[in-house]
Amino acid sequence: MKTIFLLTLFLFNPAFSLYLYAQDLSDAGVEVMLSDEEIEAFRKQAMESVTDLSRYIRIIGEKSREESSRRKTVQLATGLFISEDNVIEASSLKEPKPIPYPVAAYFNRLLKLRYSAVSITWYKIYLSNDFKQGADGRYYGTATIYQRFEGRFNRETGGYRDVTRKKITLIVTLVNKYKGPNAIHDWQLKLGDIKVEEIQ
Amino acid sequence: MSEIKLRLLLPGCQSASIFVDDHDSIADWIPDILKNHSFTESADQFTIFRNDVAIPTIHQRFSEAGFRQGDTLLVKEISGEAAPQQPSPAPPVADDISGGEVIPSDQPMAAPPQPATGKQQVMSRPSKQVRLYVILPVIALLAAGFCVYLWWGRDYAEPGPVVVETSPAVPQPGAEVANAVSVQKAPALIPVPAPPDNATASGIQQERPEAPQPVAEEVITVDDLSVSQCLRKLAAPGISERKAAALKAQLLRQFQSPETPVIKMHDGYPTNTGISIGDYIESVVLLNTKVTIVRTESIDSKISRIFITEE
Repeated sequence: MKTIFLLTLFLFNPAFSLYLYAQDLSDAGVEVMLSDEEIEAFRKQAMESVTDLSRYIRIIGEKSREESSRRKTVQLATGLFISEDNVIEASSLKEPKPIPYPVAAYFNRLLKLRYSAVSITWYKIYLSNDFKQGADGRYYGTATIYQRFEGRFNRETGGYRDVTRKKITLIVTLVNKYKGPNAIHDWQLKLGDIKVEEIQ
Repeated sequence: MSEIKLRLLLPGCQSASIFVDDHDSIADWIPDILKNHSFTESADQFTIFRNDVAIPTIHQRFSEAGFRQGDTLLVKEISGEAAPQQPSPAPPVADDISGGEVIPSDQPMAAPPQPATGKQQVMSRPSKQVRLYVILPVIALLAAGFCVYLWWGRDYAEPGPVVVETSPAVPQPGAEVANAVSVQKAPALIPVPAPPDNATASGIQQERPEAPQPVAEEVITVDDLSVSQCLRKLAAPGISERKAAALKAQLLRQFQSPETPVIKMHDGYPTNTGISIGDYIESVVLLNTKVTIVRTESIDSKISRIFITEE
């Protein structure tokens, strides 16, 4: 009984899963670990991707831009995420409890905000948790950003303003593509969920 | 260029046309457009030429044209050489619009589906051609007639127009008076300025307001630009949409497909983000990104992977 228990524990251990995953890929001649230099490169890329997202979000919010351009930007911003099922949390001073929206829904909400002018700025962008390999073989890290949101109606009625600290999951995953009979293995950096940590 | 015309008519709106010369792929992406997007709002007619325009770009064009997610759209007619198996043209649109329903292009609309025999393929196609055969000669005849009329009018018009037209370089005394007379005597000739001796119908047509020119015909010499030059020009702030479109088309021609991966490099290490060249170009235009190409890999003289760094 004890043996079965130990065996079960061993089989379901994440480290064992990672071992099996690594074994499969090593058998296929694929490097399953990132070198320090590669991780450093992905740290830089992560900052670039988050910065790109911040610029996309700013453009999506800009009422002065043509809507076609903003919609195109939604498409590009969505492409930064590992899946459209990822969520972006939003909160407000009136509704501090974060509400998760699927990525596309969040961006579409930004498009339709009922302010006459919207300004969204991300600042203090930094890698708050370094990349570490998970049980599934992917590398996970976290970036933290501060978002200043400002929506204005007009001079008479004023508007709304808040500052939110958000945490962005960063994922480096091994992607297998098949080009004819040949498999190509690429490490790719994508964004995961974005969660609200604090609102002021 | 053989072409497919897909006419998308919207409730009470204008039409949109797509021209492609890649017949094999059309069946793939048109249903996708209709499945993934439903449209209701209209925009000016827009046209996509050439098969090197990416499918995502086509989606984007729909979006640019003002269509929105959740809108409805009705395919009125699909015709052309590559669509012989498509159903016959639908009945009038007004009767067909049933509020928001999207009718996929591969489903029959009014007529029942017919077996795709060679004969029917021929029969389903010529309706457009026949129309062309009839309309073109008529237009040519009308134009020729108009020219002849002008020519005769010039020779036999009353003195007013003759005085003005035959000696435009040397103003004659009393020319103004002659003009004034011509307004009364030959009103049809007045709006037409004195044609040069070699005036033709085409010369007259040039005075009509110019129809919107498709992007592919814009006179922008980009053929000899390298990939990096194209990217640099696209990144320039304030680039016009037409110029950007021409540059994009030129750039995409040099790649295997718009899905060709773009790999960013940091300190000599690749950091793929899974972005395709089609999307990357859009991003460069939007964010004015300055790009340096590190290297490219090609298959059959088309780029299959591109490695870049950003400033």
